[in-house]
Amino acid sequence: MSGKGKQFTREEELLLQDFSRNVSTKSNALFYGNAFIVSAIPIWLFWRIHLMDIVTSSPVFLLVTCLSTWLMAFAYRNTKFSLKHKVAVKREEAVTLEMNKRLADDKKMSKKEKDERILWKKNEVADYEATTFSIFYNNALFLALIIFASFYILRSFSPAVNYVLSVSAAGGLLALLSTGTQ
Amino acid sequence: MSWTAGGNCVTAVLVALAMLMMVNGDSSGGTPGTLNSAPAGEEPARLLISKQLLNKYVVENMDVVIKYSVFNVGSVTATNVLLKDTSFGPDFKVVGGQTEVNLGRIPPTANVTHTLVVKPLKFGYYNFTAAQVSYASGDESNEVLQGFSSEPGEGYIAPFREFDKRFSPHLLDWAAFAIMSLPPLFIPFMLWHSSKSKYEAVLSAKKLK
Amino acid sequence: MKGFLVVFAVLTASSVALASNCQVSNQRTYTTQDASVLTSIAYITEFELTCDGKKVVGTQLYAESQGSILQVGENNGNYQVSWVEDLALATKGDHPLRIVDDEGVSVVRKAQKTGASIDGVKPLASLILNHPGAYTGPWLSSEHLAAIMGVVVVYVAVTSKSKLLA
Repeated sequence: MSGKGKQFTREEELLLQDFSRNVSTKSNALFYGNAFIVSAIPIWLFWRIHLMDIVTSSPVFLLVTCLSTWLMAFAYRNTKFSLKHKVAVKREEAVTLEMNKRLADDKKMSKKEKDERILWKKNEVADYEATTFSIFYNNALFLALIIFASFYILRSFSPAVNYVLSVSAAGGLLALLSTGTQ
Repeated sequence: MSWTAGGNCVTAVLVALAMLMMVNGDSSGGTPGTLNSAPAGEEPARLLISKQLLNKYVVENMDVVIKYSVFNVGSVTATNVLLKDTSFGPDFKVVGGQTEVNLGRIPPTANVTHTLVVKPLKFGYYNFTAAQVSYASGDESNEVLQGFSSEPGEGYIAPFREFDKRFSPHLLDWAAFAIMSLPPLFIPFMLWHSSKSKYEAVLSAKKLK
Repeated sequence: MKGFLVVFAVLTASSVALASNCQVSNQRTYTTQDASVLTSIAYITEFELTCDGKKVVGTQLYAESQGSILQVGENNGNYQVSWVEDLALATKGDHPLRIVDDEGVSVVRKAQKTGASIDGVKPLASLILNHPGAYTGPWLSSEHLAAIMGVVVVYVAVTSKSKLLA
């Protein structure tokens, strides 16, 4: 692929980004933020319905929430990565069409620049959709797993044990699932 | 005077009333300590009482239904049947029915039930003991016979908190949980869905052309 | 002695036969309304009876309710009619009771034996025991509802994912 050095590097960058599991700081913040929120929600269930004392159980709550936050962020990252390509492939045509329509009036832009912008936009859309879907999917499974684990499977256990096992098992299971191939 | 089962009720009532008015000892009653008040060949009145708690669980501050069934297994009518249950002391509140009651006359082979509803004021283990009954055999005898009911035995009165935790529907708490879960589920889904439908619309628009 | 007995008997008989002017006072009803821990509902009503201006104490009474006769217990003029019903068979609403004495109950029993209607039997007094109904727990536990919602959400998530990956 020949061209101006600047474009080449950018293309390379984008390709690298595509294939790398590393996420930007912004993405990371999003993942950890969401993971923390969804990991904190079960505390309400255990405090109000399983009647765990919030004051005496606060260290347990804190510890398990941190563990679950890490596990969920891990699951989000991996799920996003496994989805991104598929989404990119699906959106390729539509994004190209839309971008062409948008940039059609701009005569000053070279074809190369237009192509670069399209590539960037494809990446952005795929990233966006994969991220949002990954968060939705993992949150849905996490909360449902906790309901089933704590109210049906681990029903007869003491509330503290119930909490630790159901939240960490749900987080762990999702983290594990996310690493698997689709 | 002899008693015949199935005799005229009115006469029996009047006679009984008259007897009560008169001085004791005029009847052909036997000496205390013996059961000779019944005519020879007939079994004197004998009451068997069953005391049952009709509860699945006994919970603090929730109703306990007690059913007393009094059976007369003798061949003589039991009269002046007094049922008394003193086993519900200060730790119980009587909310319905009497703990001391006169059930009147119980003919042979008949049974009578009495109901009592109490509320336990404290939780813990409690020994439900027997109720007492006193009666006379037939109309002529003045001898007071005693009996005891069956004992329900030791039971556990659960604290209300324990029962509530297990059986209360916690509707408000679940509603709050649903409200809390909505943002982390709904927002990512809608963001994804809007982008997805936007680009699918672009594609379908192209196909239509 | 015998003469006195006869006179007394006649007087008592006439007073009982003529006692058609009875009023029920101080009626207290209790029925169990929270049946979440019970196997049966208890229906209890207590009352005092005044006939011809005089409070009735010590007389044996019976209550007739839909053909069955219940013995009424007494404690110093305070009468109690009570029974229990299995949760599944318990009926709510008004339960009319007819209070009769020994004479009345024998009339009822005779009528029942011959198959005649007992509606015509005139009671000493009539009562109504009202049971507003009992709470037996929610018909769908909230946990099951939450689990159902969980299943729905997971279904949506999984099908969307499989469509994406297709």
